[in-house]
Amino acid sequence: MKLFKTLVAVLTLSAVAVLLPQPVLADYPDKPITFIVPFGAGSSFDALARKLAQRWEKELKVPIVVKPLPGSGGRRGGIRIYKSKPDGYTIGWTHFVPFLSDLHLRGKKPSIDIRKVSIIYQIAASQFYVFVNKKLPYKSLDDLKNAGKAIKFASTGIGAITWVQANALGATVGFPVKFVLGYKKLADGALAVAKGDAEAGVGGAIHFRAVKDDLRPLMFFGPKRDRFYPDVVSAGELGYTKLTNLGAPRVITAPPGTPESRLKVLRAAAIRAVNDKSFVDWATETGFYMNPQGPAGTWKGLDTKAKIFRELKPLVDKATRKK
Amino acid sequence: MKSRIDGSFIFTLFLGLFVLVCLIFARDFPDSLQIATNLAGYTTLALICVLLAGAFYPEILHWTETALQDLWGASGQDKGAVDAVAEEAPPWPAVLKSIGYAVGFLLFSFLFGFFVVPPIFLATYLIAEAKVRPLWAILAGVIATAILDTGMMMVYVEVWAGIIPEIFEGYIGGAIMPPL
Amino acid sequence: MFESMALAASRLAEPGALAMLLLGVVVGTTFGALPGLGSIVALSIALPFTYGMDSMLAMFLFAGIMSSVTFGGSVPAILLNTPGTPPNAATCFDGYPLAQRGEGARAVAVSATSCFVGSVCGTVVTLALLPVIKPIVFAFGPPEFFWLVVFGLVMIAFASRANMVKGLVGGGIGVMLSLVGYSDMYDSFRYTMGSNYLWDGIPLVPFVVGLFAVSELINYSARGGATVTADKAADINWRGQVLVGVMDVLSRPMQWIRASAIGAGIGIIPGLGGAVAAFMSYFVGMKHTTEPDLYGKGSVEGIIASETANDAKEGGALLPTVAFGLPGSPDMAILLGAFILHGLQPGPLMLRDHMDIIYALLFGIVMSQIATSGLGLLATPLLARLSVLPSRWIAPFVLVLVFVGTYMVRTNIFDVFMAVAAGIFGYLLRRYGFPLITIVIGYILGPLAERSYLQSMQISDGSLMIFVTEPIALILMLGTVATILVPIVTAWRRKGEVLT
Repeated sequence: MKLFKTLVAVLTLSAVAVLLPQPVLADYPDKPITFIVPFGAGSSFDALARKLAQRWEKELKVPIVVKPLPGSGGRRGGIRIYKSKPDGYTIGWTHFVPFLSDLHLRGKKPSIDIRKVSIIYQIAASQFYVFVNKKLPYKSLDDLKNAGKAIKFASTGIGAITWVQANALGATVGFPVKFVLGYKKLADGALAVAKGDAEAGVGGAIHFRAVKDDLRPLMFFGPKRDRFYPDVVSAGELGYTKLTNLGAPRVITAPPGTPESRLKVLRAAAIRAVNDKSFVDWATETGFYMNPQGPAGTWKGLDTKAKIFRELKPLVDKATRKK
Repeated sequence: MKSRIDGSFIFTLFLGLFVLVCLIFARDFPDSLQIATNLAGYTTLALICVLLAGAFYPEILHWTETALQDLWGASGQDKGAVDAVAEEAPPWPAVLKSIGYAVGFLLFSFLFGFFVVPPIFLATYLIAEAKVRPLWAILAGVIATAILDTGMMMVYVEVWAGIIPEIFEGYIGGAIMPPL
Repeated sequence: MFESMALAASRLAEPGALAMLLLGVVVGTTFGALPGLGSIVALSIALPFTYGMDSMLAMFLFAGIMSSVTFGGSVPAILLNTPGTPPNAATCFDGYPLAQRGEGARAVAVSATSCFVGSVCGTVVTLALLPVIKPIVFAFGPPEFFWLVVFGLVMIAFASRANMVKGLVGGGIGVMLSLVGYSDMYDSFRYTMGSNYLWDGIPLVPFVVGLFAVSELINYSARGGATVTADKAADINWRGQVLVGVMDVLSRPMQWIRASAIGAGIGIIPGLGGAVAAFMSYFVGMKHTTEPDLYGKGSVEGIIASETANDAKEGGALLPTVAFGLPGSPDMAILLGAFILHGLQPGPLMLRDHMDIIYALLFGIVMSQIATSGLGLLATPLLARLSVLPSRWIAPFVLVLVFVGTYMVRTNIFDVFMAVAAGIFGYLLRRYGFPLITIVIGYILGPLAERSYLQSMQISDGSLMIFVTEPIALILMLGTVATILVPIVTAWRRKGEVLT
């Protein structure tokens, strides 16, 4: 009788153990996932997030709530992701450029420990062109070099990705640069170049599309030529490998400590997205440069960016010295 | 010399100190960024000094005001309105009570969130100040809060749950403070 | 062109389109009326719901929201002295005194009618300027922007004519407050005290809503009573006032034509926004009013000036948004995102291939404004009765709405702290005779003036001549100087005549 009772108890416990929900793998996700976007509704980050959300809702069978959290130059969203509960239900884009900028250009401790961020997947990177006003006589980078004067670039601000790229370009090719700053959007900067307020600018095809008849792209910052302007030479072709690593990556991240099993589920969904032709077509048509990378590739890219930022620090210090 | 150190004087003095502190800190800004601060700051400071001096020497303020109005061609009925207060002010105890309600509501909401505090605040105010019957006040508070919070949740806006340690996930406590 | 127009118009007649327009009207009016929310929050919330929707239907929804928010925001501005959105703040100055005199229904009717004429005029201007948008946007650069903004700042003096010293102090304080934050032009922080919250400066919505709404609630609840006493209310013909209000607008064509031109014109210039349009129009209206004794104290012309411009700017703001991908106002930034989500690329290609979408937006704005104004006029007699309710019944609910509304803009609880702080500050300013309007002008225009000045100097490599050698900049400069000098010369002449 005792044996029988023991057997029943063991069988019952085994059945319970088997039938109980397995929270880590079997049920994730089982409630809405919040996807934080560090810029306002309507931004390119936001558009890409919503396109992804549309796919993931069908695949993962839970609502994906895209939540714009703008502020502090994109830092606020990243800080929010970093501080959220690491349960896989709060993820989003971490815009790494301002945090790298804080650490390596400004010498300030960023609000998050970048190394602790859980990287899910890098979907794309913004890759830009350098362009000039068509009325000017510059038809190649050599013309900029031979101009014999500082080339005036339009940019959003010191330390911004366009400022970094313009400075890096000038340092690599060998011409001095100066700036007209304070443009709120890259499209504003492109318009400024088209109007003649500045001679050159840096931006994506989507940013200067509206004034492309007034501009001449000289180089694409990617490793290969871009589909928008296949006649325009790329930085990779010219041997400027460092310049190909300056695009701002679109990386989906999660808070530190998020279980790897949950990261894998999301990563798999991201990989399926970047292998889906319709998604890729939409993204490239919208101006994103597809650059899918797993965590290892993403970290490598970020380390390269950090190195470039450190090399540019003396320029930043010079530009921001009280004058 | 006539002294009029009243609330207006103290407030104006506070504004003057604020502008002065801003101007002092501005000395550390890059030169180009000091232009706007200095232009606005010194002009404002000078006018604040006129206002403060006017408490002791009203003729200084009157002269300045009249000169500026003459300069700008202000119409007749506006002149002489130098000392007019914008509107009839309620007594300070009532004002402080109103401010107290607002600040109290804010602090408690920060701590306990928008699910818990609004109905309590509404009911308390309606009972204490508007003399509404308690049952109706509580009902009004609960219904209003339910409508607002449900509306927010329907559009996927995270309702502020309060900074206290989590009691009921997503509803009471455990909210993530934005970076300050 | 006519084919696109016809296509847009025919789609508008579909039940689905009308449903979207009406939904947009309801959402927009509600979000406009709730202090702190406004079109940006409404559009942000609507955006994901339009995903997968037919593009044109989505545009009708957005048009409905954008065109109705301003009327929605004017209702609490008039009846409770609490602007629903920052651009409605200018409506408080004349709307609320009218409500206090028992003419709240008249004021709301003026607003509804002004919104309608503003929308129509703004759309007409947009249609007329569409072919020439490029030269217009190309003509306006930092030096032109600078003079335009300086003109606005000069208006501070006009706005404070009753109390010049305090008004100018207010303007200066507003400018000082606007400088808080990170300057990307020089990678420098000003007055942020190491705070991440102040990185982007003192946020607009919590500050303006706090300054006006919270300060008024403090005053309102401390004062007690109601906006209009029950005795007075018994004699009021609310319905009759609606017709009076409509005729007030229709009988003043010059006022609303001028306001529409200002609103649409400012809307076209990217980066200025609704508050600038409303305030600029308000001040220009002040200079040309037929009721100088009443303007700022309960003149329908003040409401006409601000609300017409507020609505006209929507049409104008659409132009740089579709033509260049440059949002003409903050809500246009969200519309831009909607375009992208729906596979539409702003720019010459959109003007070439998707004019039907643009016409759909424009016609949608007009149609939804008809609906908004029509429904608004019908509801006015009922809405105006809010002014009779005792303040101690309304104040706590409005305070809760303000808190929730300001929180919802950025889901940042510290925005609510900012609103309360601004409210206490605003109350003290009002109590001691400092006009709030000059603070708001300084706060909004200060950073625009600084940025355009610094950019101009960078463009010209440090030469001040850029401010006078660019043709449009020169015209604007002369206009601004004339605005300053003409009253001085007139006053001197008058003095000279008196002496002789």
